[in-house]
Amino acid sequence: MSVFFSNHIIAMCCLFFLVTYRAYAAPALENNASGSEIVSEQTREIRVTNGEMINPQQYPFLTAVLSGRKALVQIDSVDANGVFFAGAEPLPFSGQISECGLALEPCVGTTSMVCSIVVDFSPANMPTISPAQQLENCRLGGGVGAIFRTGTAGGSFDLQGIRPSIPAVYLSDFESTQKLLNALMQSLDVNVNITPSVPDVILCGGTYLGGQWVLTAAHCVTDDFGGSLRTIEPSELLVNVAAHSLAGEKEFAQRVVEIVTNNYHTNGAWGVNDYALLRLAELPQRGESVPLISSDELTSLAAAAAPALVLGWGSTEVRDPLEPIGFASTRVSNFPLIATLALHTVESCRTLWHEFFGLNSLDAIGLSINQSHVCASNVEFQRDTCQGDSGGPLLVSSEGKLKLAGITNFGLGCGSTNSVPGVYASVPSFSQWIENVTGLTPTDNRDRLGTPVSTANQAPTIQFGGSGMFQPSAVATIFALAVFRRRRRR
Amino acid sequence: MLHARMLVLVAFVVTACSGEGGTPNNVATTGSSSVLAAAAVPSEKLDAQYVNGKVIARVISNGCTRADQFSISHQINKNSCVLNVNRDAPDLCKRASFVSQIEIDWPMLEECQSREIDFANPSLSAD
Repeated sequence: MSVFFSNHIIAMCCLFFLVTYRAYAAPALENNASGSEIVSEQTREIRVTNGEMINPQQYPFLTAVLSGRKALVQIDSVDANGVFFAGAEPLPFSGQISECGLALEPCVGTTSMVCSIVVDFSPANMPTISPAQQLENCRLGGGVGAIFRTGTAGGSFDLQGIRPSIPAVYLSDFESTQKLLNALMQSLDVNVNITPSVPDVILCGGTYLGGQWVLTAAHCVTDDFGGSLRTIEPSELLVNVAAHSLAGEKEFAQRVVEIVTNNYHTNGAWGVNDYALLRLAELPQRGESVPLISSDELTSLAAAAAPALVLGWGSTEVRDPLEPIGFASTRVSNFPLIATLALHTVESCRTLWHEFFGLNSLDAIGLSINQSHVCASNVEFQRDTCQGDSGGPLLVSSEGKLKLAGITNFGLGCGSTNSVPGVYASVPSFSQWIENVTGLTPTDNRDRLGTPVSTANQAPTIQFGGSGMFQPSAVATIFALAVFRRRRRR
Repeated sequence: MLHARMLVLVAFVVTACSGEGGTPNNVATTGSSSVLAAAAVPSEKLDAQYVNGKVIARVISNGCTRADQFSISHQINKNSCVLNVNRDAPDLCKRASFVSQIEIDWPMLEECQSREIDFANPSLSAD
């Protein structure tokens, strides 16, 4: 008996050492990989906190959800970056520039021209007119479109729910503003040509369900717009099914023609019904669906703390979510990452959140965790989803298949050791709604035409590393997590 | 684990009570409040202006930021009324961070009417 235990303990120690080594060695391996193979694609910054690179062919349902508002602004022969205003069709426009300053009154001499308008948020030049009024003054002056710029730096401007009467963009960075100012200083005869373009940075993740449908998070497609939450216009989104390189596969990006949500945020709580369906303009050129897990399957897997995969292009940066937010990540990611987490039951998840925040505090900040959620974490190894991963898949292995169990929603930080499990919309809680909306019965892998795909050649279980499927090290990791937790509780 | 959580909470409170741009002393707060607001969330970086009874601010959102998560506090200096936009609830969603514009009702207070309106929040543009 004692010999058995000794051997057992030694074996487990070795296993634990291997797991620990593997987990902490992973980032270094990523560095080596990117340094030699991926540098040509100008990327190093990879996403999903402490995740690993993936083979995209294993995840043909992984979908990038991108902003459809990005514009290429050609100022004479110089390219600059612009953004179409929210709520507007991203329609191309062009013409000769006419300076309209702050546009406090209807612009003069702008007939059939593009107004150049200043928005300055510095306290010394506090504007007394909204961007929507400025744009209207351009239209009243006969302008066919407008370019907004800041006095000092780039930024984001909102028409606050007012649908623009003429097409307009704002320059989204300091360099673009400088390019316009330089052109205007050199010549009074500056022509601009504004066209929609495909961004190479992520808005959210998504999962291809087959046909023309993609699943994502509702908070990826809603904005506070003039004080009320609204679903954005479908034309403000682009979707890239079976995406890998965001910068290198722009030709696969396609428009969305319909966004369907299901009573999201109607009771004022975040994280409730946080899922949305996107109907694509046409069948994607590539991609296969992933089957949805049933409620019974997920319940038993969560009770067993089964491993689960998360994928996405989200941030690898970890910061304290309770610190004041004051920066937008400008890091550009090109490839998605994958990480293995362990499932939690809703009850244990809710307990951990309440232990951290306090029961009343969680309610006070408008968060609810209930049976419509599934939770997962791997805080010991600081692997987690992060900003930019919302809407992406949480996958589990069941009946020899990878199945969709959740949609990335929210979490306290990204894989912090002081954190709590990440929270995902539980797919079984709304799979009937998916079927009602899409007409799809996604119980099998299907190609984009809806034909079932043989999964005989697909490894059915979950990988821990970057290439192989579910390996013994993953089992050992889960075991190690359980040991860690038990010891910490003591 | 408990120690770690305590450290985070202590760090949070310390952060909240120190550093430039922190909530000024002797401030009055209006708008929504919560347990987190009671912990004195420090000034969030943003660009703000006061127009027609509203504070219009450009803030960073992760997809779940709304105007009702913020409150306004103010402090009277000699010739200015310094407003501070406080985030009362964190945005824990995981959409890629972006700049969102919010509007917060803030009727002009009598003690601020003859003073210049200024903001204590550090500028978003500085990043």
